Amino acid sequence: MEQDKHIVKSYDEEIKDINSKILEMGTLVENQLKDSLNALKNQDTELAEKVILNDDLIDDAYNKLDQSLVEILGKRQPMATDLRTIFSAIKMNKDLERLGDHATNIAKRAALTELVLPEKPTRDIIRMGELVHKMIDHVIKAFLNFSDTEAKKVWLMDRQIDEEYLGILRQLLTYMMEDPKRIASCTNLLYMVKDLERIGDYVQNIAEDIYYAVSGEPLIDTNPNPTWEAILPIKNKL
Amino acid sequence: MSNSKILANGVDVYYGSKQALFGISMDIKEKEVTALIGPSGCGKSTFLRCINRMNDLIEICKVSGSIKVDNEEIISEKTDVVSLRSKIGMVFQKPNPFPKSIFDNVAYGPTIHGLVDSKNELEEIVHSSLKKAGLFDEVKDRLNEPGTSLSGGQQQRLCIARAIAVNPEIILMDEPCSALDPIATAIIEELIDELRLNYTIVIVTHSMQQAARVSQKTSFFHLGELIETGDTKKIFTNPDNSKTQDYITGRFG
Repeated sequence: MEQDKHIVKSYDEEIKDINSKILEMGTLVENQLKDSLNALKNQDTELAEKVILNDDLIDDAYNKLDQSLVEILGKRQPMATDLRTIFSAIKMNKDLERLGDHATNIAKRAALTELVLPEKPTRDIIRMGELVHKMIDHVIKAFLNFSDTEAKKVWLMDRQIDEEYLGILRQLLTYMMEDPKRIASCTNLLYMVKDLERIGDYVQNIAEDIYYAVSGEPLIDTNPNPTWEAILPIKNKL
Repeated sequence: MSNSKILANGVDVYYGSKQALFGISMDIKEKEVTALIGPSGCGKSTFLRCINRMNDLIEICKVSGSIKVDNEEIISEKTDVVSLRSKIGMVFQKPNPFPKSIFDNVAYGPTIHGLVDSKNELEEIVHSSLKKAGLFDEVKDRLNEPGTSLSGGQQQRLCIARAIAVNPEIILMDEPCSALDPIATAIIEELIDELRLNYTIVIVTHSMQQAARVSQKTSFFHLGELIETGDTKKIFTNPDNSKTQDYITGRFG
């Protein structure tokens, strides 16, 4: 993010430090998701356990960044672009931490190896997870480049995630209806797909935060999300 | 939307051959606090002093353009400067009480402007002005002591009481808190918040945070020009002009 050219050079350093801490958080959660997906793909309990344990690292990084943000607010009383950057960083930190929790949830469910997972939806979930992973990667880049255009692109990617989510949801419902013995394993997958969908939402929030920090305007999309529009009639019946 | 109280249009100011203000146009609304910010020497105090014609006191200073107060032109030889100044109170950077008692400091203005007919009336004005300035309770038992015996913050509030005693409509403040500690500053800021219900206030300040806290409108001056003016909330979160942005974020080189 924009950080240089303050008259007080230590202020630049402090913003740089916050940027690197956000990058650290971003990289941690990105890796957590990648490992969760690999654990699911390869039914790798050991890797799933590693992810579960690593959640503490995210919590530590969250606390450290949180502390730096409180300090910079108190010390510098930022204005304009600095104020927006710090304000957005506070929100991003929280969202990244929650995102990490969802990645851990996926690992916890991937570790339940006694369940035989149906192949096709599992594959689809992994594919959706890779898409979500790409979204995280892009949002971190948008953040590093301090780019509202890139942030908006990531924001729009969530539509594809929603589409995938609804597709897999339908698929899992069909599997369960066809064979009730699959209910336990499909419910397990259902939770995972929901976790991925939530991660997509958090990344979308982060993209909004970056967009606001850069442009000073909220990210408002005037076109309604077609995916959700399409299922509104179903939602109303539920 | 409030009404215009002070309307400046194309105000130029020269000190001798040096131009200090370049075509300042500004619409200052009634019963709002307008903060003037900018680096030293940017012309914000010069502009403030145009509003009550204080620049008249500087021989080499020449002011042109138009400033209307309540729709009446004040940059004119016909302007009754004494009556103008009775309408516009001013508070300075350094508290400057007269070497008189607390009571007399406040009583001085109403007396010379002939605003009172009796001793009781004068007392009433002095007491109410001290109350409005949030100072009465602290000084009510020592009104005959010299104004200079008060603390810095109290002296500044005494000067505010003195300014409002003549029942002005506008109060100009030139860095009123720069010589005060944070507590005295907070008391003055709280006072400004109360005063704006009845007065139009224009304040010059070097503290961005103070401008953000006390004002509804902010104007940024740079090298004698008005760079940007607008809602304080907007200026401090998302200014339009990059010079404003650089200044308020501490990037001015």
